[in-house]
Amino acid sequence: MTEQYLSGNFGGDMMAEDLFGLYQDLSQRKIWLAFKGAISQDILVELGTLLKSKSVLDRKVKRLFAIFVEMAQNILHYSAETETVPFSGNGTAQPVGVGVIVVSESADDYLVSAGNVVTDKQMTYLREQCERIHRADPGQLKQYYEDQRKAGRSMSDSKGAGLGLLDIARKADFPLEYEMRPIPDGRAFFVLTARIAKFNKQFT
Amino acid sequence: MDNKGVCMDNLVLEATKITPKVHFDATSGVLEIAGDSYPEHSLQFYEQVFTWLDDFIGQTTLPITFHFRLFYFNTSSSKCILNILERLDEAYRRGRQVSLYWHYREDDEDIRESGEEFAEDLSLAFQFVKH
Repeated sequence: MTEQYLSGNFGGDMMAEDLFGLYQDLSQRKIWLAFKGAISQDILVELGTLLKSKSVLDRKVKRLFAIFVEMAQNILHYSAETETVPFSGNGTAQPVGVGVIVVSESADDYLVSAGNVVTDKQMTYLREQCERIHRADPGQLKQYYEDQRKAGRSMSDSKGAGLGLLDIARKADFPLEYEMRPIPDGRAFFVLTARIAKFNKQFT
Repeated sequence: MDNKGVCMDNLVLEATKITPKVHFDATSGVLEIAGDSYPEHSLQFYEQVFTWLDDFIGQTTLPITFHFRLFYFNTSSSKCILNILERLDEAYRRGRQVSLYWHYREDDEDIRESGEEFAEDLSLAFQFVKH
């Protein structure tokens, strides 16, 4: 009876060989975790717990965790692609943002990359925010962060992707990398990458 | 009931993975928030904290001792923490006795720094406690 499962027609499904390729790829790139799908709060918490357990929770890994949470919550709240996840969060079915998030390491850095579909309007907003962040020095970033936090503290919607971006930029050791890739339906795929140096730079 | 308003209930919320422990003692005026904070909707969680604090500040005259023992908080929780601090600061500026303790772990300077950033805009003095 089991044979029909083993030798069945996989059609467009991922074949064993592809899966081995994916496995090798994930191993070689030192991927700590990779997730594609609806990032509900429950998923976020589980992935975050996994991330914390991957390494001694030192200052660097704690920042990595913080960046992961901000990126994942931005997908959850703002992705233009959503799925309705039953019994998420407060117990009722609700739309949850879909995206992809990858945490990995290179020889010198820890990396968090997140990608999701954004609307035209979001694209303009994100581009402005990212450019403003790019031009800012650490002192200005701190000022932007404090201004935005103050501005948003009494709003009924306490989310605010802007504050998350500023926080990510302040926690990262290098300028944020971002990319907007147009997709056929007129929207875009937004990718954001933050890097944290594994070792403290000593002579800079 | 006397004018210290001991008729108020305590606010006690146990910690979850994503919300901090909240222990607000209306009899002693010792209020504590401890743990991690990154709920999906921060305001939904903190609304009850704001309401309790407003009642406690408005209906009693007890000195307030506030302990923040946070380990990790996300940006939307950070807005809510600012909200709490501003309420305490306003009470302090109106003459209420308020002592504020910001606890951090020895190996976690980031939490200390985030406390220092909150303190910059407030009249209320932060007492930093290293563990």
